[in-house]
Amino acid sequence: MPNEPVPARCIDLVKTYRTPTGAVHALRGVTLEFEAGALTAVVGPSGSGKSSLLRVLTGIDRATSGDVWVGPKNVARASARGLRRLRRDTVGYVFQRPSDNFLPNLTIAEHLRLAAGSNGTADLEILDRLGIGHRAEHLPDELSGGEQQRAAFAQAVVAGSAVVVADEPTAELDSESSKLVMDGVRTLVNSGVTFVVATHDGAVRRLADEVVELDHGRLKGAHRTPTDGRHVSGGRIGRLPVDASDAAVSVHDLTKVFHHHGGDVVHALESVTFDARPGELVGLVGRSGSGKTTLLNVIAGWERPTSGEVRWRDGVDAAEPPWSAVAVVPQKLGLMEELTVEENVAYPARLAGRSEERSDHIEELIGQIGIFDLRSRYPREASVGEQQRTAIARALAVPTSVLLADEPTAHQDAVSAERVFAALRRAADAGTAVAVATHNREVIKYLDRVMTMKDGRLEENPRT
Amino acid sequence: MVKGRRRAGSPLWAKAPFALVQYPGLLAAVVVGALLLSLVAAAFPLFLSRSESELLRAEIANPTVGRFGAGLFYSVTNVGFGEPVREGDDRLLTEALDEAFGRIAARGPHLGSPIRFVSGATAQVTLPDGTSPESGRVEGTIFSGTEAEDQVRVVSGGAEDGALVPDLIADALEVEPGDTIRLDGKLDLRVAGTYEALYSQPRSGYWSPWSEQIYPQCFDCPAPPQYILVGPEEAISLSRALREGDQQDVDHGWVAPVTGMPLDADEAREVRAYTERVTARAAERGTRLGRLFQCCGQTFGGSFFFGRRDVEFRSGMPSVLRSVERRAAAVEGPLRLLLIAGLGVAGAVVAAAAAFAVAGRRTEAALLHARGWGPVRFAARSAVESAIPIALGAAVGLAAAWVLIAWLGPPAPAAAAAQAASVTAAAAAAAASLAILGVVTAVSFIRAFEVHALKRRLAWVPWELLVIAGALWVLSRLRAGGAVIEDPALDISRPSSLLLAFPVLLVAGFAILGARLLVAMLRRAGSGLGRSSPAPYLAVHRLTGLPGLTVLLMGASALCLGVFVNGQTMVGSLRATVDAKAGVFVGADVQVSIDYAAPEQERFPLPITRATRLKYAGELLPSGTPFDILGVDAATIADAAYWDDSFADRSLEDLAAGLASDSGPLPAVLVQGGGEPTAIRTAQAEIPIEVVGRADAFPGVSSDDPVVVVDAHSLEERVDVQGNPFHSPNARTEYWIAGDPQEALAAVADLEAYPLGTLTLEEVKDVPFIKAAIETFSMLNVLGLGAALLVVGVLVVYLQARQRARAVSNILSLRMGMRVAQARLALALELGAILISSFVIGASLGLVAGRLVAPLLDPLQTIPPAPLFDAPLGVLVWTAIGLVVVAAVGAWLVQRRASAVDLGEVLRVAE
Repeated sequence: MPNEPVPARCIDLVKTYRTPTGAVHALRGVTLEFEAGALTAVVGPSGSGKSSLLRVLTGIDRATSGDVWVGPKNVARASARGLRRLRRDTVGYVFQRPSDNFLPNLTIAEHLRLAAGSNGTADLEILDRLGIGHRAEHLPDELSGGEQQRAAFAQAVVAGSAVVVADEPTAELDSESSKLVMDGVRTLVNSGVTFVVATHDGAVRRLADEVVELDHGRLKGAHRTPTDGRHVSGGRIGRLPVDASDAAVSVHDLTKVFHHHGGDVVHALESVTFDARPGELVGLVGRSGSGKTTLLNVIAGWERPTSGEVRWRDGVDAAEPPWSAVAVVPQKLGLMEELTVEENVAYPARLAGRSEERSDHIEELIGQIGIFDLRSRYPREASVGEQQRTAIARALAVPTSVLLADEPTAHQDAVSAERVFAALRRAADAGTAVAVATHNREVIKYLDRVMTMKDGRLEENPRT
Repeated sequence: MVKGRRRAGSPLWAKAPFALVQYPGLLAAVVVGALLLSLVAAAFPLFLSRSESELLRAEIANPTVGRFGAGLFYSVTNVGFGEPVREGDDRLLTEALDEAFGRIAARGPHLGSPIRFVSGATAQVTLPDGTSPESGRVEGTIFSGTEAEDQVRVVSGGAEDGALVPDLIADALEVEPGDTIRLDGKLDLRVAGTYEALYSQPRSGYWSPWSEQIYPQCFDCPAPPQYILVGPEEAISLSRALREGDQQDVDHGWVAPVTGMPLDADEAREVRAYTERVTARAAERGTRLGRLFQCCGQTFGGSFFFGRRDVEFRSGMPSVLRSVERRAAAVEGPLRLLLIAGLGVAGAVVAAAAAFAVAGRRTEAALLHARGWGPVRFAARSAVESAIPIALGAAVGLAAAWVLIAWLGPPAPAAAAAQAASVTAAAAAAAASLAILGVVTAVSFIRAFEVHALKRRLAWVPWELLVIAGALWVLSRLRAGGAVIEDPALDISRPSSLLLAFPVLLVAGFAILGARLLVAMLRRAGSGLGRSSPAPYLAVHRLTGLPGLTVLLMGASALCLGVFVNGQTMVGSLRATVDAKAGVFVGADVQVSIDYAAPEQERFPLPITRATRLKYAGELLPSGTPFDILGVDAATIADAAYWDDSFADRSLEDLAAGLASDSGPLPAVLVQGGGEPTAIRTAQAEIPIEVVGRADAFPGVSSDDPVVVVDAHSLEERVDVQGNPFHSPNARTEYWIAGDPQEALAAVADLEAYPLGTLTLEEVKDVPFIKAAIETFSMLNVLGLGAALLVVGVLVVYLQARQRARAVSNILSLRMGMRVAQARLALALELGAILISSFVIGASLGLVAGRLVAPLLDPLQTIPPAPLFDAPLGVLVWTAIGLVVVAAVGAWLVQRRASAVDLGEVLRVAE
């Protein structure tokens, strides 16, 4: 544990990345303070500069100009060796993906010993305080994501880091795991650790002592009082009356069984019956591994059902439905790396020979979904959230009967999430049946109908 | 519950030595890299040593050398039958010498028990009644040598109770075993057996020290007196009897053959060093050995007799080793190139493993970076992780080197020093692997994670310009005479390694620059592909979307293909040049020297022509320039003489046709000469000439002076015998014969003229420098081809990996309406564009490099023509076709593998 809580602050911080397609201005003169011994949430749309701010704060990246103070040390002026010392002794960094915080061949206890330094001793009681004491002798891949993330925080604290920086630590966790992680964070903050967390997660924002909001690389605001995350009004979302008998696609008594090596049998889907109707935004809500993605894959024709059937309106071939029948936004976004953001969005129209016809729509779409500024960049030059919005825009570029979106807001802040659902709503209004798989219950409010998935079974959510 | 504190210590370091077990791919890469490095490094000294030993074996196996010729030889002439060592030492000199030489041989490394020989008197041989053979006088030399009877082919009888007589004598006298012959009419000798006379047998090692006494010294010389083999005592007593008196003499000698065959080169060097030491000591009068073996100088005198004593202490080993080392030098150049290439490839594998250690374990590296690790610590960890695999790989590489060289290398043994060197090299390879791994890991870590101002600055350095500058510097060195390195120790010339560095640097620099420009042009062109079909649209965007990678792939492909084309060009040019020069020098395939006065050849089974050449024949008028003259037979030269179209802008037939003329100025072809000569002035006459043709080279021209080629008959028509320069004693007359050399040499016996000597094209081309240069560039050629194939393979594998990594976008594309054929075409266009562009860039640069360097490699400078340039057009066309096929097949393979991806599984994993 740190002896004294350490504050951090940035003064006129600028970070610019040079890319083949030009300069990307990630931070444009940000000045702010992170209170010592407090939890600060850094929020903002994807691409707003949150990750850049955290990387500069930890000395992983270097500021283009401006100053960054961690305690008495100006990180921006530190040598490479000084930055290493800073990362080793003062600032701990927790990666977004829980498993990224571990070396695969060391147990959790060994990680803590390593973090304590070669001559130090590891106080493993912190694991108890974080509720994972029984996992000390386990290898990382034997822990759940939430446990891994708590163990990662434990490492940072055992290392004596007075400041712990975490980039979206709950982005890949379901709500229950998230809660456990944030409980652990609160425990550490209470013991004097300064926490800076970039997040899109409303629950994390509510837990924070202070919220710092970035937009387009600039400080938009800082609040002592947590907000509920609703900054942008999406206006009224129109809903068309939906006729259940006129489903664009429906699945009946669908079962999908996977046989793994070693004889394991996984029942990914069990007797699932589901339909997506034109004009409707239907949600498949459930934890990771509940079968949501498998169901979307079966509908998209990428998996064959073990039993049951998929029925398409208008005689579409269920084994290989064309893009005009079903546009898909998979979790692995599948953007063409060789095409710019704009070219990616326009790609389906191009292949359909409708580039000119759809050009105005595509331009409008790019603006609506918030990727206009980066239309000339390659996907790798955009944040994950921006890439995800690009994939959604691509799915909306030409009209389709059905649109399947797998976790479309996993990397979106509240504003961007609302933009995404506004765009999906417009597609639904135009007659597309939109099915969204998500573990984020905060987006339920955008959905016309919610189906809950658990252990491969689907049930209608009584709230809808 | 966790119990309090745990002991200190870093589990990361403790587990590091076996950490790679969890990464089989990386582990394999490290082991294979170290194995390759060790294999190449360890194999080099072994192979070189075995090559030397094999060359040594071949040299010693040469019948003119043999084990006896390569060993230690001592002979002394005119030793008196009862001659003591010296005053005060009454031992017989021959016995003292026998004892001393035996001691020297016993102490010497790899020297066997000496044989002793006595070469006695030469006597006329007749029947006991004094009858000589009808064929004329026949002579024999009394000879005794240890086990000499075992070294001849006995025809009848044996060596017991009498002499072994050569069949040359026995047949002439018609004697058989049991008969008696008489020597010099006064001494009878029983014939115990007969043997096939040595002069008519193939040379063999045992007799090699006496070749000059056994074999005829010229083409039509009679056979020297052959040996009558007797025992040593008998040889002395016979010689004493023939020479009448104790004061007369015989020649004595000892030969210690080399033993322990096959010798390796180091053992041979030990023999050389020992024999040189002994010979030097024996040549010093101040030493006891010198006094004994030199026998007080090379002359000795008495009151009434003044004679000459020849002493010879020698070993053939120095010349054997010199020949071995000269030939090994020709092998060493390409072998060293192979070593460098092999080390480069192996080093690249180790470096790739190191880069993979960062890229493939990026998450770990990022974590450690975030925990405050620096490049040195990270590299140290990688080194600790890799130490055991590297040691293992190096040990296996060493073992593999020994097995492979023993299996595939020359069969002769490797020297002990080479074996030790190979072990040292393997250890050094292991250390180098660790060093490479550490350095590349550190650099990769810095590149991936560290923020250095220097890194940003270095990223903008146009490295290719530095490489081009390096190429130009190397070219300037080559032009300043650095193309050939003289080795005064071996008296040979070697091609400089700068000759290899230049094409590599030139092609690498300009290839990267060209690739960069091409990608920039493609990027511009890509913006104009708005309405094009998906295949070119995608191909162009893929090429320009990751410009750095495209430039790297194009640059690497262009470099390999360029080196390949350059190697082909250089080998082709060198061969063409050497062929042309050898053809010019010899005149045709075989040259036979004859006398100018020899009769004309009326008929011959092969095309033949006659020519006479005279250097420094006189002056050209009016300029006064010295010239050589070549007289040819205008009627036959075009059929038989070597000709290359680059020699002149007219054919040889045309030129020859203009030479024959009975009147007027003498028609002449002027070779290598400028101006407008109107006459030639020789020592005897001034002859008006008319230049009817010019050439840069001409058969029979062997200097860089102007040469006047005339028809010999036409010249004879215009001058008398005294005025004919071809009657000069310095003139050389030859027949030039076209056709298979063996056939031509066999047909020489049909010549009406007496052949004074023969020369073939291959004999002229058998120059170590030429062999070394051709072998070196051939090796470069092979390496370039191998590297090009490797790059093509890597490209295809890369595209496959990329397409698999992009499985989601590929399958989405197909859903969006792209056809499989279009996807395949896009890949083919991408791969084809990289390969064909690389080929065009690389081949052009390879040709340019060859054009610049080929003129600097003049293997036989005094013989025209100047170095020729031979562009390998066939290779270029076939390579281009091959690359198009590779692009099509590669695209098909890549698309097939990409289509086999189970997208459902990929997406489930993402979930």
